[in-house]
Amino acid sequence: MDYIILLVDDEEQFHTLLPHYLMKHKQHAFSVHSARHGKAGVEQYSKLANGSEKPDLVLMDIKMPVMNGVEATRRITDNDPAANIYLFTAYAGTEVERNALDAGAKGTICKSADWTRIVEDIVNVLEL
Amino acid sequence: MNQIFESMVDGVYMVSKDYKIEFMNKVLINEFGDGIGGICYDVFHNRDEPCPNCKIADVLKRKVVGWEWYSRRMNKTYDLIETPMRHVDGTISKLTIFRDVTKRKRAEEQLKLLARSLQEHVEMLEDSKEQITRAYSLIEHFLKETSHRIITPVTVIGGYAELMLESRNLDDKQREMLMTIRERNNEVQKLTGDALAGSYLKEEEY
Repeated sequence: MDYIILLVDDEEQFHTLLPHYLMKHKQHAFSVHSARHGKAGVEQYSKLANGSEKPDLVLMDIKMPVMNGVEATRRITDNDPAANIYLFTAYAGTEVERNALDAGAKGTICKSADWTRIVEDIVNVLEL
Repeated sequence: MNQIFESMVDGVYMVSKDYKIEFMNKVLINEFGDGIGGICYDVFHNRDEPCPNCKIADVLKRKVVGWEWYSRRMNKTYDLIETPMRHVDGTISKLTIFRDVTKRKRAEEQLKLLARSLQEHVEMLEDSKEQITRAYSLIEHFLKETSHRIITPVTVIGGYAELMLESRNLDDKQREMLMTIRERNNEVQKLTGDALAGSYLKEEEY
């Protein structure tokens, strides 16, 4: 199956690493779009959704410049309550994570040195 | 009756309605000198006139009065019990029993000082406990925040190490070094996980 993913993260390296590891997946194909902060993520989501390329999954970092992931999540879900947003963060188990979940994120995919695990988590979420 | 008074460890004296001392037992004579026949306010208080707080009027109305008196001259505190004493001729005198409570009073003062000092120490301990709790909380916050921050570079390093290991152009030495980077990076991740679980700050570790 072909999935559209929007990665919203200010760490440049993740925009290189995530497509690389997703590309290795044998059962699914992925199209990964990028935004470097929350505000850009909100705009990108809207643009993709209006262009019939609504992301199947938004991976949202929490701590970012310009607009953080909590606010970006709130703005996206205000317009599209069905948006499938998962936090992609090192801040699992913290208050900021809870705030983002309250803002409409459906869950958390933890950042980890183990990218096989990250990809598995992403695929599990998409196959739900 | 006098024999009973002489056998008492407390001082006893008797005074008529015109303040004349009719009797003093030996305990009181040893303490204030022989004042029998003298005037009570002169003998006990070195005064020229009756004391303002004299209880004789109450006692003559057949009341029993108990009160505490500090003698500056003797530097002692007494518990006094003053009671009417009816004579065979119908006249009434005031009988006073002196109980020296100086030691008990000093012990009470000492106890009050100790209690105050104890209270101060308890407050100091509570302050210290509060400071330690605040410091502990700061350390815990610092450790957790640092651990969270470390996870991002650990994820990047792990990602690139794995990516480079996919290359076919590596010699054995380079492959070994990359595998070391990957393994040590995994150790760092485990350490941050332990820190986030709070295992470094468990009470039994101290």
